[in-house]
Amino acid sequence: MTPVTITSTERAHALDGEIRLVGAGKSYLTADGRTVRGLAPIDLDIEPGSFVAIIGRSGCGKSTLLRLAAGLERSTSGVVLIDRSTITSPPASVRYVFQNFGDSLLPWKTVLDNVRFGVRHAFAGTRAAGRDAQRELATSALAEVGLTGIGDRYPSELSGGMQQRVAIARALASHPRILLMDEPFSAVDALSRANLQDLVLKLWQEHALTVVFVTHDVEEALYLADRVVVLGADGAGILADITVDLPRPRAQIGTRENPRFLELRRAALDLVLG
Amino acid sequence: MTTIERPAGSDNALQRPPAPGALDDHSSVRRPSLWRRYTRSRALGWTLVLALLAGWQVSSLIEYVPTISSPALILETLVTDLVGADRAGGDLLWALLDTLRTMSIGFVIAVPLGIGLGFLMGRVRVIWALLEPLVEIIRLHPTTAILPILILFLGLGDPMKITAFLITAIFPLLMTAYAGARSVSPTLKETAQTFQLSWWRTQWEIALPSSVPYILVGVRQALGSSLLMAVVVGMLSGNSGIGFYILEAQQSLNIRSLLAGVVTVAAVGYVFNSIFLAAEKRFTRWRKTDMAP
Repeated sequence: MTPVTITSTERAHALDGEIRLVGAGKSYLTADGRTVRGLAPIDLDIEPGSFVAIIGRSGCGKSTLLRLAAGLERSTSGVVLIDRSTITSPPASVRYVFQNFGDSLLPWKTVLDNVRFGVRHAFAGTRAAGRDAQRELATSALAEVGLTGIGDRYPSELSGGMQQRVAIARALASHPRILLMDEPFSAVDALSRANLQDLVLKLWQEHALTVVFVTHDVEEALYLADRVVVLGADGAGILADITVDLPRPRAQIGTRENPRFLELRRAALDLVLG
Repeated sequence: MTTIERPAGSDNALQRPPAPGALDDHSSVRRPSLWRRYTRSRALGWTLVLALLAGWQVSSLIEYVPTISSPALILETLVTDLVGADRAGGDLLWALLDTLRTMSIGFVIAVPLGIGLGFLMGRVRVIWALLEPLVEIIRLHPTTAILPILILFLGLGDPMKITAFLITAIFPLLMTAYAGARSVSPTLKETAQTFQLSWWRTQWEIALPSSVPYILVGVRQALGSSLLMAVVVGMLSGNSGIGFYILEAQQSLNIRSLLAGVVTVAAVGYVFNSIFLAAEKRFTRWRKTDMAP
């Protein structure tokens, strides 16, 4: 396999956004006192500015991996480092996009106020952003995800795809270095999903973000990522680390018809279904 | 929720779409007729109320039965007892104001206390562990059963009445605030975590607003029970208030005053409920069920 075509050297200005899992794993204690493996200790280095997809069957620990990286869960073994420092709680440079967008947006706040909520708290310490500046940041983040003129509406008035766009805008507005996405488009219809995938690719490139994208959809993973990490069943750990040497920019039809795409798809599906 | 909200025009959504080929024919999507809208709104129910009143009035004109009086006479008594002979306010007005005064004081204390305690019980495990048994023991006693104890220790004055209203209102508020606080979605909590909200900030900006729909149910229940208690307190303590007015009218066989008192209580209940519904609409605009069509 040829090396990754887009590397961090192209984004030399993006010095941070590095994720390292060193022997990081998670086990749970059940109610009857048994220990259940959520994720076996794994080593994973994610370069700044890269796009990594995590795939695997349900219960393979892919969400656990993402939650460890987000600081939403403490690892029971090893450490998680974001930009070379160990994390114990969610760091400010990391934003998380949840699968169930309906529960992640504040339903009592308008779309604009939801995004402003993110801005307000991200810059809470600095006090740099005044009310007008917050408003401006929120409005431009909404425009970036293709939402204009709906700032006054409530999340419940929007379609699923639009709600997830709002959640992405909220994450983006606080200028994160790392975007962690947990099956963000699994509850969105197929056509909206294609648009959202291209939106994420655009934002990743324009903002030089590090994106870790969890999905159960092998094609989605290959279409988006530089690297696809396949996790083994029942939290067994990393099964394979596939380098996706497909040219960029990717195109919904062209890329998916690329013989190399089909080749990678076969290999990845073999591993997942194995 | 006791009244059934059925916004006017909701039938638009239920209308069949125009048949294929008839798309140019706008007659099939025109506004429903006045009759149709009338027969599907609350106006129909109000017509029934008026019809019943008219029937009662007519029957009393044909043959007057003193024990059931007549709407016109009850209205007359209602007006004179409210306005008073010298327009300085009648017995009924003063009785009503007295009840509303003690009720408001009890309610105003109960709202922050009940919501605060219930919410904290839902959010802080230690507070729940500490208070849950006590709350369960007191909550299951009907306040009317506690009333004699209150009278024994606090006498027949305002302190007893305010305490009775406080106890009546606090439990619905506490229980619903608790339920609301327990209902906060884990995803919302984690969203707050990823934006580094402090514990207090999370309660204030996430948990409390998401409890609002629950708390509003509690406020409504508390209002209803308080009104019930208003009558009972007056009857049991027997010195002032709307309950006492009704009791006195009954004991002196003054049917007209008795019914005037009952009508007043019903009217106050209706006004409370209307104010409450308006407030609820304002506070839960964001909910899908309350969305304008």
